[in-house]
Amino acid sequence: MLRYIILLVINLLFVSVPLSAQTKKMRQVTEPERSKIAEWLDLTDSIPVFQGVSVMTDLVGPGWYAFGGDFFSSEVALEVNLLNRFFPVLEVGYGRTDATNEDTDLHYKTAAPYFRVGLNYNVQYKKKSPGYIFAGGRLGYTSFEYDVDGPPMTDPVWGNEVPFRFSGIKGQALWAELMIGVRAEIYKNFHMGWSFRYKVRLNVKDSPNASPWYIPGFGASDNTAFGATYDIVYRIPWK
Amino acid sequence: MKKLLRGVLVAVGLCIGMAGCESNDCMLSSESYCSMSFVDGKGNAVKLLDTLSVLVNLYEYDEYYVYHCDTDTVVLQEPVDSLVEKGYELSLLTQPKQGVLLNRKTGADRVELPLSFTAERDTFFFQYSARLADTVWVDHLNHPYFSSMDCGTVMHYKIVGITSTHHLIDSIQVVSSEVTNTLKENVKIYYTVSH
Repeated sequence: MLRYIILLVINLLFVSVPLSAQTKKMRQVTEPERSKIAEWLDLTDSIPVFQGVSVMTDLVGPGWYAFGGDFFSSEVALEVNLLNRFFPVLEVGYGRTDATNEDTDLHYKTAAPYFRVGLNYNVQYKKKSPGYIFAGGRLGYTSFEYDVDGPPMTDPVWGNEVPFRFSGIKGQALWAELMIGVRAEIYKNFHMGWSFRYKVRLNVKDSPNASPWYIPGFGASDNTAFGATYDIVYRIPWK
Repeated sequence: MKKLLRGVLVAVGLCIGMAGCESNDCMLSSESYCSMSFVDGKGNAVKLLDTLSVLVNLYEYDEYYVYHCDTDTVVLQEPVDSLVEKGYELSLLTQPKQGVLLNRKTGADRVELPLSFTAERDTFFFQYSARLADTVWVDHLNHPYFSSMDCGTVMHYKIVGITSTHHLIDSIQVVSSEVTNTLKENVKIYYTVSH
């Protein structure tokens, strides 16, 4: 099935389509070329495209908070297995913090849902093992409100004080994640695995009074952050 | 398979290593300064030949006792009852105290000046000599700003207007209205240069 989809796309790309008054010469892909492309895409050993669906949840977010961390996050994910090679993923989570810095006496509070979409690529797709090692990417987004307050600011020259308290600041963030991970079957249809993520902020909405410190789903950092997940995965029986 | 696992372990190690190298990247300055550079009519940097002092009016006031009779005026910092008995009329004069931001700097080609946290207009006195001075008025909006939990707060400003007297200053121009703790040029002061 997938072979035909890809070959169809290749045909559409290479076949002679009248573009802008035939200014570009294009030609039909020949059969040997198709075979070569299919071989290059490793599609010669056909298996059904759809290999199942898994749901999973992360234990690091709640665990980090339970052991005294400032941030709580909890997420569930839905993953589709295509050819045991490509795994499109949708992750939905909720992150919150209510933290005070002992040195600066600043207090930051927020709570909001977040979303990620992306793809895992099983580098061991040729093996028929139920576990896999993967590399992947995600695109994350959240829209949130946050409060920040702290000690009054004292003007060093003129000497007067300005209170520092802002509530309901609106923020938005878009970020990308590169990740690697492993997953192994621990019981029938149940898997466990790690993933390590490198996150980069792509776009963060600042306000005149603050730059968001903790972003639900991204974490607390400047432009980059590292993260890890420990996933419990249930593969929904498919056949 | 072993190569693959080794690769994964190396990548994980790099990730953890890089995480461990994260630094505290707070700005060196936790205060915002309005940076004003001095240029000639062509926009080239100039150094002032005179000494430059910059003063501001503070929110505290000095009180003076002014004794006045027909032809004589006496200004004192303390009241003197005997002058009233001699027929002098007493009035109270209050003047803002002045703070010195820059004291007799020679060869200045720029100044970095703090802006007030609360006022929307600051007045700076550029004193070149005992008899020669310019006054610069900076109108600004004040934005208390949260940098991060570790770096704390800092005041940011937006310059909305600037004017000056024209004793030595020819004109004055805002080149970047955002005043933050990342030092960058905000204002160009064009001086009349005599050749």
